[in-house]
Amino acid sequence: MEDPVKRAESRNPNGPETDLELSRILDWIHRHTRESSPGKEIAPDTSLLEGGIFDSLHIVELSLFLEDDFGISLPPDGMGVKDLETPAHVAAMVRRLRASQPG
Amino acid sequence: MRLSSLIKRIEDAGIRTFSGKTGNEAKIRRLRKLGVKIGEGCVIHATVFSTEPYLVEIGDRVGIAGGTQFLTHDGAAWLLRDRYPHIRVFGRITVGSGTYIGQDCLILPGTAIGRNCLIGAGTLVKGTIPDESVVLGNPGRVVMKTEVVAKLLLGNEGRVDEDVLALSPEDRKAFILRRLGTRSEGEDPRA
Repeated sequence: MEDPVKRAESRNPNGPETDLELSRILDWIHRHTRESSPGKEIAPDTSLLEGGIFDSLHIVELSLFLEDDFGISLPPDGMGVKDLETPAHVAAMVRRLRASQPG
Repeated sequence: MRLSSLIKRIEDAGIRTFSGKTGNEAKIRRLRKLGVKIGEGCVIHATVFSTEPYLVEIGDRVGIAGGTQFLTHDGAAWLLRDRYPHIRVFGRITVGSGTYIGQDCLILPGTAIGRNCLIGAGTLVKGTIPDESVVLGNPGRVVMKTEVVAKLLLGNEGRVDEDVLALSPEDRKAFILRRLGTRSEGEDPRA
């Protein structure tokens, strides 16, 4: 099976070194949706909120992963559709929060 | 079993009472008599409203699943009873209109839940919850906005838009099994 991290890196127009967030997020999603969405390819622009890829518990687990792995605090009023629509949206949120939460 | 206990169990079960009111309506009427402020269009299943029900205020169109408890006092005051024999600590609880509270939640004193929130099953809730929040976990935290859950529900394979509650239990079972792609023992009632 193709490595989802390498696949994401290969599709990233900015190159692998500038989009590690997206690679790690794609890897996490791939590992955590393997059972619920067997055989489904998760690309940076795949909708996570439609087609049964994510349920609400996936989002809880994802939030814990993002905070632990990237050392960020998620928005106190919760993530919105624009933050979770696709893996690319999640990565953009992480980059935004990392920039606003130095250290 | 005492008659009052029997009536309460009937109400909790959500079935019709002898007066013709649904169990939900009878329960809400009883809770209002106890002092709980409850708006219109609410559905409240078996729920504990603590010893100060008059400190709980619930808006319109609020749904509360079974097993949820509203605690309006802090039992930790027990620790101080040797020095302050009569100490009690109370707190109001408010629930905004349009909110749904899932199964077996615990709502602590001093909690204000906003409008159109979703409190996930088994969540312990304390503090102020902004409007349109989804609160999950123990202790509960605002994980996402309700717009995310709305999108998940609308795209869910198990979604149905027909009024399945209007069907007989047998027809409902057959309909749901058929819709979910599971072999049904009955016929599709719409066929």
